[in-house]
Amino acid sequence: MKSLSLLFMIALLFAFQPSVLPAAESKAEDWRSRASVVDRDTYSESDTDEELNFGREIAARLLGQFKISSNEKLQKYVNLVGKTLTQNCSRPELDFHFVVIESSEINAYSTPGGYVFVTTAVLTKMENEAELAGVLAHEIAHVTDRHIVKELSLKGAEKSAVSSIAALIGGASESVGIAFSQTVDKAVDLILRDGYKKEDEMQADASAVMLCAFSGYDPSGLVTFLDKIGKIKSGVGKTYPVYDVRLATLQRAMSDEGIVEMKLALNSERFTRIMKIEGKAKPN
Amino acid sequence: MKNGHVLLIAFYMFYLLITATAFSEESLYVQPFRARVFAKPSVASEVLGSVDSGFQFVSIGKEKNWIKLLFKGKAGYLPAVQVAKTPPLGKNTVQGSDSAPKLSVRSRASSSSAVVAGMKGLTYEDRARVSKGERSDYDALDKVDALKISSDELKSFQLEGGKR
Amino acid sequence: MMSKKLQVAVMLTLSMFAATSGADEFHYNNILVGDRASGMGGAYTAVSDDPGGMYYNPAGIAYSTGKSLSASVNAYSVSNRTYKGVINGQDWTRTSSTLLPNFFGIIQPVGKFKLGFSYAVPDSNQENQDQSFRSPNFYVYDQLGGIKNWGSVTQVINFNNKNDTNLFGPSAAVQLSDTFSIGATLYVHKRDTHAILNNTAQSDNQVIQVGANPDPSKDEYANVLINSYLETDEWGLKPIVGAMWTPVDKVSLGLAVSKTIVLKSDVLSQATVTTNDPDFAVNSNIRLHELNRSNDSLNSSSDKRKYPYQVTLGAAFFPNSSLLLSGDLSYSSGFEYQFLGIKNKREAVINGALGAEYYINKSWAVRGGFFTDFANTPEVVQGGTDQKEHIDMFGGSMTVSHFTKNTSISCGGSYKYGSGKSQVQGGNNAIQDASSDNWTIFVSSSYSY
Repeated sequence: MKSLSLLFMIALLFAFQPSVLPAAESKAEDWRSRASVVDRDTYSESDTDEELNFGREIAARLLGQFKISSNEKLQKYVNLVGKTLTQNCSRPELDFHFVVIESSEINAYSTPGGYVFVTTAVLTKMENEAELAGVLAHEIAHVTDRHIVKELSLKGAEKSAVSSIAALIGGASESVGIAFSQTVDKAVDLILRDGYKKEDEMQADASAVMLCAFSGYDPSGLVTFLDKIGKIKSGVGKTYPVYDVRLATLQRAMSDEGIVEMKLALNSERFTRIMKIEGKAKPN
Repeated sequence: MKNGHVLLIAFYMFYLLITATAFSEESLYVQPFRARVFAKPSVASEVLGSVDSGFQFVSIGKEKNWIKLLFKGKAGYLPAVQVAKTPPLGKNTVQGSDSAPKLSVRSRASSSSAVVAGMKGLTYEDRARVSKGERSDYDALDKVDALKISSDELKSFQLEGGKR
Repeated sequence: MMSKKLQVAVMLTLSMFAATSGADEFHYNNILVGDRASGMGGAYTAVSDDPGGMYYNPAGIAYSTGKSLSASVNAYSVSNRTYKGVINGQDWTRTSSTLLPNFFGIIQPVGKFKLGFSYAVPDSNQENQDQSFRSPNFYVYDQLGGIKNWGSVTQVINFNNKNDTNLFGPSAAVQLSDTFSIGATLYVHKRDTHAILNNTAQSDNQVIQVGANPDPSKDEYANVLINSYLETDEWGLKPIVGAMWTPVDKVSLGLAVSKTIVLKSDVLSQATVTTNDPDFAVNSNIRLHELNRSNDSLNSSSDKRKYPYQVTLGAAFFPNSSLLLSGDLSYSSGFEYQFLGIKNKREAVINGALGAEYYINKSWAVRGGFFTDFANTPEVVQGGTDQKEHIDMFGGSMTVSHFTKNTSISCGGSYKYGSGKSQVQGGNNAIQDASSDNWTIFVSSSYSY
């Protein structure tokens, strides 16, 4: 009898404990993570410092490979479109910079910390400002969603006594500096050759159309541009994933958000005017 | 056995206490300079009003990519991408920074060669580098940083736009 | 009341006593290894999701988070063993202390896999005994097989025994599904032991006349010095294979199997007896405890030790991000082997451990645990001789950790105690009470980058 009542107590223990019963299946990494790391998706100022340092290194490397377009009015125009978007993005602490670079590659790049590059070739393929906004928004989304930061685990250095002691006991030293420079190396390659992971690209697409909508730009701009690029097989930068799947995913995301039929600004006239008058980049 | 029962009850109460304290309400904060609160979880719906960066609220629900809150007595929605658990960070720019990590000449040299980035555990295929070498152009970067857009310029640009 | 013959035996066999054995031979949990595990009594087989996991259950590192982790533990450990009433009612005590880096590990994700490297010191001690005793009678054999009494004797024992086991090697793990992972560690096993025993006895009364033409003015008191030396240098492999299963959310079950296989062993031994009593005879019929040599030359051997199979089953419960409860049961198989002409037999042992980790807040956590450390020798029974000591130990551990965003520092300690029986004197059925304790302080850090 006594052992039965004990068994009953044990059964009660488990039956009424909601955290014991698995609700939806969660990943082991999630429930294994302890209180000290459970907020690893929050970022502090020192993380942003580290991200910026890193982003500037990458940007400088990219600028070493590509020449900045000397067309100052074009640079300003692209920055004005970009800043319109970044006013509504989720990382107001960053100063985004938009740069037109001379290249025949139809591509755009962004670095952690907010440097966004568009090539002269990609500008020639656009027909209106909403398409430009779509591409810029996509690159901005890579930064606000911290794709590279997460991929490379960029974390701010800690200057506390605790971390110094920890480093002393653990024996870390210059290896951190070497890790940094190798990470820079890897990130440049990531942007130029590996491309972001497919999921990251699609997440950036979904974030981009929302950002365009918040900023008053027609979200279809990105869709029409990707459709166009998909049809151009040669010469496109290798970093973008397969277009059909990508477009279908994007259109589904837009339909879920109810923004497919939104008719917002295209600013075609302004775009054409600036490209024609100011651009070496003429619409083709 | 009686002692055993007491122990079991004590353990259970302790356990409930611990699990209860682990779950607590959290505040959320709006991130961008200004965000619009919508009447429904859709960008196409009516705008109830706007809130500034740093606006703090407690979420009363979540629908897909939208966070539900009480706004001016009504249910409103903010896009999930525009909120976070921590307040927005202060403006942070690094110009010609001294705070860049001090890389020794030796580690610089190692970054120029195609080696496995072992410290970060990423696989790396050995292939030809893209091109023109691996130099960095900080002067060009400074030029990029120097380009500033004033808020008046931006405002008039936005007023001029909004057309099809 | 010991017979005279046996008292002689006492003298000689004590001198050869336990040159190879220390508590390390008879127990499996000598030093707790790892940053978190050491605070949790070693109950880690179902947790193992950080560098320490490479030692307990490599399958667990498949769940490690962050890109790169490193952990290091430094430990200061002191052990004491007491054998009661060994010589003329006097206790023998042996103490051991060590300061050592006892674990270092690093994990790196590569594609789907987690690869790692670690270094562990599961056993390290430097045992010393420096004691002197007085006995009223001291019997020795003479050349004709008779016995003579040296009378009151002062004995001094200096015993130094160093024993270090180092493991180092790579690990790999992969998640085969959301709920199952496997992993393996391949350690290189290196063990060095170095034991020196000097046992002297000097008679207070017995005068020896030395030489063919004895010089009465050169009286010397009878004395004997027995010196024995044993050094082993062992290389081997210790593979550890593990699996981790999540039957329901927040519950983890782990299984790890390992065995140390000695591939190369170099043994050097020497025993010398020096005495000024020409009548003194080393009687080879006396059963020597560990060494059965008594000559001047250095003997070498390639005899290999054996180690048991070890299977550990663990369970862990992660109810929330603040609390973790875990338990382990480990089975070490019985085994036997010949070493320097002596048969060593060990019994199967089951040990258990329970541990908990509680985060007071994001920055502070406490860990505590209990564990057993049972002897792998048979119980000492009345009527037997030359039985190995049997001391079952129980222990507890506790650490406090402080966390910053990327790093953590822990410090704490463990204490274990046991009592049992021993038969220190070879060829003698006298049984002594024995007790042993150990306390260890550890300081460790870990960080992700």
